[in-house]
Amino acid sequence: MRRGRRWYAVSYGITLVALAALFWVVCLLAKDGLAGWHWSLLTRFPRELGSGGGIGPELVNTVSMVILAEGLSVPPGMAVAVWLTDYAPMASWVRWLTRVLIAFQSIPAIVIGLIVYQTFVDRLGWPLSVGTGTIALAVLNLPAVAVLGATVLGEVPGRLREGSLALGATRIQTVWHIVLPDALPALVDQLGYSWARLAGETAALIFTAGINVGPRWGWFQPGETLAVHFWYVRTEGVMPDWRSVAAATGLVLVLITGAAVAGGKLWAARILAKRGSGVKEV
Amino acid sequence: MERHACNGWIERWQARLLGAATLLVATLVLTITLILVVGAAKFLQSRGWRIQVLLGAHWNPLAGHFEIGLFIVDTIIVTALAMALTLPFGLGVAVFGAYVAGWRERAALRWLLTIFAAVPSVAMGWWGLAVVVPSVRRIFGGPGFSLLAAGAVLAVMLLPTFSLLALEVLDKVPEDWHQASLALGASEDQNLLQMALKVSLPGLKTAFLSAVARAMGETVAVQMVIGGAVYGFHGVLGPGATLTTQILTDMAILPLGHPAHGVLDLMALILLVALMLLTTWAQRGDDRP
Amino acid sequence: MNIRHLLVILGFLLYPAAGAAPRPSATITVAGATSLLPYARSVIQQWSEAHPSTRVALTGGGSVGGWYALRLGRADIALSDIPFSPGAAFAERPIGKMPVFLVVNSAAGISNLTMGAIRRVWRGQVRRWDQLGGGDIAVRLVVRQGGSGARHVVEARVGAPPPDVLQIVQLSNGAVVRTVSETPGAIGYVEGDRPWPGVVICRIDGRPYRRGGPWPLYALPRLYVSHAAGPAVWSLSRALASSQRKMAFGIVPVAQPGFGG
Repeated sequence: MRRGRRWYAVSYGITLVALAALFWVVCLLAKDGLAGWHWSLLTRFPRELGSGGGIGPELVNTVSMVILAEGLSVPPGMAVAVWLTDYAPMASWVRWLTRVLIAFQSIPAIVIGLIVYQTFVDRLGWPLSVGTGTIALAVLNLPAVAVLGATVLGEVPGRLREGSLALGATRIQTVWHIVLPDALPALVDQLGYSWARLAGETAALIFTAGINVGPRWGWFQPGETLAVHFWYVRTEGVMPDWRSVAAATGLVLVLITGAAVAGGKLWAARILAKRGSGVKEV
Repeated sequence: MERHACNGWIERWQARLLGAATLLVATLVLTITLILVVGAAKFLQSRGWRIQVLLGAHWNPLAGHFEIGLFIVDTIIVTALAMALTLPFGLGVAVFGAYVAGWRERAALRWLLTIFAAVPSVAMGWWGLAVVVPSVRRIFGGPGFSLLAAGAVLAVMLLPTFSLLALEVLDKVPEDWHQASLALGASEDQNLLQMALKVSLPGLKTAFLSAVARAMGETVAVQMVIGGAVYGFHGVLGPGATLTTQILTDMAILPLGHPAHGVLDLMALILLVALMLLTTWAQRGDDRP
Repeated sequence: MNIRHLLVILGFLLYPAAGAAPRPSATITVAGATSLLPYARSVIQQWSEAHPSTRVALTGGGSVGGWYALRLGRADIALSDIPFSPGAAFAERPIGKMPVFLVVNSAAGISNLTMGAIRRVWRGQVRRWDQLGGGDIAVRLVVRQGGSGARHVVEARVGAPPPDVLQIVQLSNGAVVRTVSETPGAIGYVEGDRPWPGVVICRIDGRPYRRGGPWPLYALPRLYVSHAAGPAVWSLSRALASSQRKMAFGIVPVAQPGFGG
């Protein structure tokens, strides 16, 4: 043991404290959520007054809205990413565009909520619904897909592109057959994050998707998601079993986001393993 | 030759298609900015461009008082508190992950941090109500719903992401440099403080600024624990309201078409401008070698 | 990519912003007082089962927000605790009356307040509960945001607190009750005769609330609807104004004028 490693010991202690705080959040949620757990929670409709309400429609809304929003935002977002890495000219306006996209990547979700509310609810008269919420999520996700996609594609070694182009491939062939496959694990990893982020979004949805659910699913049906229901029940719900309903909703939500991230990572690792490209940390 | 012509045609058109997608996204971003700028400008004009709107603290939308200075101050305070708490912990975790942990611990740490980073902010708000608000009340007095509680909740929320980013940065310091520094007789502490952290500074700054951006823009986790008070400043132990939480609170009573709707645009625009400044600052550090 | 392409795409994107597209039909939007949301949610659920082809979107926003939404054509039915003058274009229908309760955290040791005491609390003249014979603990006001009907009812009687009085603002009845029950020494107000959990419901001037009996703080929830609204909107309005579920949500029915014919 060399002398003068005090700060390493400190960092060890800090890490323990930090992880303890984070585990505290999840474990408390698990404890409260499992206290009144019943599997039928996942299929029943929410109840406003009596106890025994479920989160079935919220679950369906969350999953469907995330899938639709990813479907709306990933293709154009990836197109922008490809354009930025492989096509953009070396110009100052491109740097500015990148900078603006980076800023928009962390734009407060409530601002997107405000804009979508103004445009779709106030101007177009769309109801607070699955559709409006999906639009909000897609707008929120679009700059993130473009920026993170461009980052991932930018990490693909330039020599792969040069080799491909030197062998006579066109640029789109290079992108399609060389760049995207090489970046696939990292893209899948990012997609997992992106799913988790959208599934956990609350602020952008309170005023776009609404805080109630319809009798069945539909584009213009009210579209409360798990995250919004969690917020609503914890802060405003007046059902007698609000405590366990809120915690159980939160638990399901955290499990979904965790599964999205872990799923992305595991899938990415599997692609890498299949490729046999050695030990590349994901 | 035919094949070549076909490729040329495809090449031209896919370039246009990708360019169009970029233009679409750029237009979207521009439109959002324009909506906010126009709304904010109209509102400021209706108030005679008085700077009092930004500096004052009299907020009562139903009685026609729209001064957002308090929300700006509260946003800054909450963000500063969150960063002051997150910074030491995040750096500690990053140093541990990058230099102290063995590869097993390190892989486990990364997995954990990644999973925690995905925990939705509303779950952090829930934990804040269950744990942080009562703790603040017990330890410091006051109502518990406070700027401090909001800062603490944000700090825990930002911790995993910031640690991960900082860990990546510290990881990039070449092994040779550590060897060289230690071979020259530096202790591990000296190596860490005077070499590793110092050369990582630009990267750490970017990580820090992106955490600031998230702290500034968070809504529900803050709304749940901050108490929403709009009348006067009550110190860090008292309740307050940030720009984001107040947009959420008053979005419904100031709908589009309401003469003062633009004040919401103004609040959003302030956040956006702050975000642009942060991004520009972060990028500038990155451009330099 | 020349300037013409740019203009076409720009125009395409700005098209929705110009407000040219029609709103989807067969959707009824109900907006307004959050104190009525649980009741409205429950009535809408039942009504929707009988009218499966019509979608109903429910949003909060408070009494004022709902009234604006209706006037600007963005809601079909506005729920409100605050009276507005409907003019010639809109009809007003009473839903009933709902008591506003003062709820106190049990640590305050208070179960009865006179109107005068409430006024002194609201003006910041009472800062600790022992001034009113309660526990040795600071008074903490929990209020609703501007535009709330309950706030309107309370402040109409006792006035608005001065700026130096510390107030925690919550966005709904449920949030106020939750906050009061979890914050020692807190006092707030909620609307509706319901078993509010975890808080002490104050008697006022020594009298407990008896359903429908005399009470100093009554909110009069009502709904507004356009005269030009379609039959589905009117059907839902009637359901909201006259549903038998009211009592379960603490709303005392009043005479129903105007729905006879």
